[in-house]
Amino acid sequence: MAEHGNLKEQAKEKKIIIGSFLLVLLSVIGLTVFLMPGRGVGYAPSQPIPFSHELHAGQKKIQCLYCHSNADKSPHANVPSTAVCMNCHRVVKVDSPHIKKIWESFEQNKPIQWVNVHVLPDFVYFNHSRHIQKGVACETCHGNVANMERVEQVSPFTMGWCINCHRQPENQAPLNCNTCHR
Amino acid sequence: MSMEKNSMEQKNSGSSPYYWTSLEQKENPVSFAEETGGEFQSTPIREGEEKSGLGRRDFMKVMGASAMMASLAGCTRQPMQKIVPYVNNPEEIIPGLPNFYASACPDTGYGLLVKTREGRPIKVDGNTDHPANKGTLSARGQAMIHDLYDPDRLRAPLIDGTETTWASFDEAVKSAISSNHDSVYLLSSTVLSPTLKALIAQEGIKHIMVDSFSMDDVLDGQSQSYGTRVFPRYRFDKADYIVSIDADFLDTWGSPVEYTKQFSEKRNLSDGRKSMNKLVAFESVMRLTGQNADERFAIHPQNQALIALGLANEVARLSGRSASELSSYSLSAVATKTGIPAAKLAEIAKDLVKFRGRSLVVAGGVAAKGKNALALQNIVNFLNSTLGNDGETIDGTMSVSNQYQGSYSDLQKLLTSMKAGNVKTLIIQGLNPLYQFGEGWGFAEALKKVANVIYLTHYIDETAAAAKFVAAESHAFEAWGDVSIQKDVYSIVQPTIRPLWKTKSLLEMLVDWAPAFGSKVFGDKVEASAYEQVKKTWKTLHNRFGQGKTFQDFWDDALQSGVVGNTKNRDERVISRNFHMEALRSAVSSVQNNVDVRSDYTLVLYPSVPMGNGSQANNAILQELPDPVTKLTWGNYLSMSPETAKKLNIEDGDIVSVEVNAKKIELPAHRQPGMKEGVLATALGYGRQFAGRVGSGVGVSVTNLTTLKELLPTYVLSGVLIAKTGRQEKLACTQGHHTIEGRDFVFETSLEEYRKNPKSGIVRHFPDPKSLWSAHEYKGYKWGMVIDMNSCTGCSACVVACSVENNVPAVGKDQVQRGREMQWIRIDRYYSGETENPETIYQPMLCQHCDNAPCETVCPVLATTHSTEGLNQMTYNRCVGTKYCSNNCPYKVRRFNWYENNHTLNAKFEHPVSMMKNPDVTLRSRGVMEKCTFCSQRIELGKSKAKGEGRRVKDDDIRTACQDACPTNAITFGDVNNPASAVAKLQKHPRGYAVLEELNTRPAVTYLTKVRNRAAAKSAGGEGHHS
Repeated sequence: MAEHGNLKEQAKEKKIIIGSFLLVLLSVIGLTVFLMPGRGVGYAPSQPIPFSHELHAGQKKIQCLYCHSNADKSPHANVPSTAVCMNCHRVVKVDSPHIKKIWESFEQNKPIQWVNVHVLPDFVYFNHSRHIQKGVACETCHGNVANMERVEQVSPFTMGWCINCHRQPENQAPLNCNTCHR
Repeated sequence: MSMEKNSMEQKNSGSSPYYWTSLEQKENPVSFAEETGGEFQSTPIREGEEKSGLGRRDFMKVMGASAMMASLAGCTRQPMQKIVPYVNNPEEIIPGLPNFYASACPDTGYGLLVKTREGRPIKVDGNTDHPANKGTLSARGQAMIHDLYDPDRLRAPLIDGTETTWASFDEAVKSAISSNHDSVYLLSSTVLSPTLKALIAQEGIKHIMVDSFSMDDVLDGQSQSYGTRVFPRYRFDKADYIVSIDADFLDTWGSPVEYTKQFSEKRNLSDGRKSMNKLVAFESVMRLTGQNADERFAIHPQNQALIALGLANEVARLSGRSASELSSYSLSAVATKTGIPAAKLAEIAKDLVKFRGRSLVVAGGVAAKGKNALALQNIVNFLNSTLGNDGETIDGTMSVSNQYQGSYSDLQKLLTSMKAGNVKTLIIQGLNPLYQFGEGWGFAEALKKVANVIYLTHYIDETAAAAKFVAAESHAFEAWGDVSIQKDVYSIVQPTIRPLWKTKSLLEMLVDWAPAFGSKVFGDKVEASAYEQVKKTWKTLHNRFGQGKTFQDFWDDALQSGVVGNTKNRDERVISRNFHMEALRSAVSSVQNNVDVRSDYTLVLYPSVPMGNGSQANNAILQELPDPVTKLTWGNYLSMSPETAKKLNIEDGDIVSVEVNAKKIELPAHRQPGMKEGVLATALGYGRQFAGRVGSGVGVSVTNLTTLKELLPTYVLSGVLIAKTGRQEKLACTQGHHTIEGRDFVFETSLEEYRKNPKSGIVRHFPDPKSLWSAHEYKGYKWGMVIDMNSCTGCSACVVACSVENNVPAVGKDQVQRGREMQWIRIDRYYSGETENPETIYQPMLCQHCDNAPCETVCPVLATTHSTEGLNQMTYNRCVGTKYCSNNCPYKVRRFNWYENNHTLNAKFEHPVSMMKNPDVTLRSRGVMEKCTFCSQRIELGKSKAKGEGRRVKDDDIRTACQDACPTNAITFGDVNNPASAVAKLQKHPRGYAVLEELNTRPAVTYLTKVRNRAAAKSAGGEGHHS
């Protein structure tokens, strides 16, 4: 009888040890994963060519829509094609190694693969042109890009954050599910 | 569950007939209700399954732990996403917005409007400016997009079965041709392209055209009767009284999209109209044409000519132009032989004469292509001429159709030449002879005697195996060309995507091979490219139609509008032709000599609406499209009347062997109401062996039963022996997955009653139901839809258009058998009357976007909600798949993704399938419910456009895919809150009602009753009806 009791207790002890080990392991993994930076506020990935908005939009005062020309026409705001860069850089700073990369892309017909900073999930259908046409300034969501050396995400771009603006009565914005989720 | 029978007995309505959706439901309403009463036809746990194998709960227990671990694994750092712009953005492309290009279909000649996104076509509709199809297409036309992106397409040319480059291929072909360039033959389907025809003539190629389904009877009949071998332009838009003898003009005969549009325009009762056309149909097979007729007679195919003769005799007599040739065909004589009451025939003849000049008699569908096919045509031509229809409802001179130019007698001459070894080079295009031609025609043997066989194809199919040179052919969207669908009506075929693979069109090949055809070709210069060659043709057209414009302007306008030519004022210049009585005499003597021996069973072969000639067999959307009449998918079957089946003790799905002319095939049986006893029917276009991974092995090929001895292939076969094999196959039928539980879904009335009371036919058992909660308020837009059941012919173009627009997957035969088809819109078929010759109503059923939606209240996660504009919206990312919503939906319009139909999570789409998906619509994963959204992506785009212009949405801003596709304009969609919109006006129409109004769901879809053009509603006989 005593042996049985011992066995039971031993088995129980074993279970507790294994259980707590697993718990600690999972917590460590979980915390690491959650605390690691992914996308979200502060996301500022490095780009294949270190394009500086501070220089172009800030110092040179080039309009947002000059490069991102489809932002007020199409549901997708575009990143400019190489040809747009070449408009100026055919002659401007031609010897710089970064500009040489643009020339390479243009001459070899290989597009530049920019890293997307403001990424929305696939199930969200965001219509850029509607917002621009409504008069929402670029800085409202994208922050002060003209001061950014490297583009950084400054807004959370979560659904709650979008809804916060949509539900202000003065904005007269739709709140239907199918506005964004089709 | 005797609910069905009780509710039927309790009903006490006026004179609404009893509707049955299928034979199973009619014969065994109680057991049918039991079997289909469950929401889904399969359950996760069946009785007894828990004891053996893993039950659902045990599964969850075991998987619970690892499920928890797996969810943690999902919380990873999100992957980096790239944006890749163009290097040089083409001027006309704005990523995110579609571009539309006008083009034309090289096979049918219809005008197309191709919607492209970022340089790839994703949707095709008709060109609204085209006079023939006016903005609509058939179901097969809508599915063309999927053919373009078929991963099984041939990607490079082959020589002797080995892939090669075009440079080598062209060299080899040119050297093969140049040694005998005066013995080059081209066997093709009807060529509509003036450019191609000119080049063929210039190169001295001998051209034989053959139509997949012969029209030689019509063409030769026209030649004998009027002197010109033309396919006339039938003017259903001018005909007030139509008699069809097995001419399924609403299904596949002639120019069905054009006819459907014209026919339904004359039946439109909105805008206060009180008159409609009338259609009387004699059919040996149940087809849409007969189902949309105001009066239908089921006939034996051997009686087609007799009926025509009886009518001709009586019409001639009434018109004072008796013809002695017809004297032996009095109405009583014909009535005795055919079983159709003489009084009926007299009535029809009288009506035909009453509507002289405004009537139309058509005959000659595939089911009429028996021994007397040509005679039938001549008799019908005589009828039309006597009635003064030629020159009015038949245009045989001004704008005749170019769609059928084939000649099977030319084919027979070619076969003789081939067998004699006189054909050195044979190019084959637009046909798949080793599949479409019967073995007995001798084509395969004759082909062996041809030194160089060049076969143009999209797939490595049946004929490709026998061809030395397999030329990978471009799709219609990938090459330049032109078409002339009718005399003096021209369209440019412009490509909307660069060829996906190494393929070329026939025009491009002939341009590239021109040097091999000798110096005379270069005397009359062949341009450097197909594009230049087309422009060359159009320079001559510019002289005819482009006065006052430069050629460049003319060309640009033609590209933009899609059609050029003599379309205005052509009506006034149609002239009637003189009928040659000799034709009638030869017809009558032919009928007298060709008396078919009556056999117990006669087999009729016909082309089905989804499959046609079988060239699109690899298109899953079409394979899964329910045949409009039988609602069967994924294969063909032997249709027979329920009486015949009973005699032979055959049930649905019994595999039956059919033997005719010493050839035997096996087909599953299908009991089809509306056929005469002893008449069997089955569809051509199935049983492909080498069609690709989807189409191979689906159905049974019946082409080997046909012979080619006379004018055209025999599609009506007598002396048929059938026998049960004892084996069974479950048919994949989409009708019969739901019960109607004795409720009223459709209402109909007669024209006479409608004139007295426009609301006639509608029975409201519980008018004005009260609601528990207050109604929604719609201050802005409110989307609504009206479906006119009087216009809907059941053609199912809307089903395919919706599937293409909304990325709806095909699920396969096995899943369809379980009731899991995914189509968001379906066409329900309601029979009424007796099984010998029932009447039919077609009702397109889609999500009703109910104001008091039963589905919205039961979703535990609020995945389905009501928008402020009246839509029932579906948020796929919230859905967890409880399926409570579809359980609660009384219309059963919600479709569940039981499996991963869009392989985005598990595997990438096989290239290039991902290119055909509509980027504006979510790809739904496994476990998610989906349903019609009223094309919310189009609504958002339309609203955005209107807002951008600072105004409200107008009717034309938003058209749902189904509305765009419908040839009959049965579907109207728009803003109900806008009193000027078409939908707001139609919703108030007295014929309007909502389906299952009494449940107080308050649907956004209003249906308009079906009105049949006859005196008073036929009293529904038989058991179980209410009166």
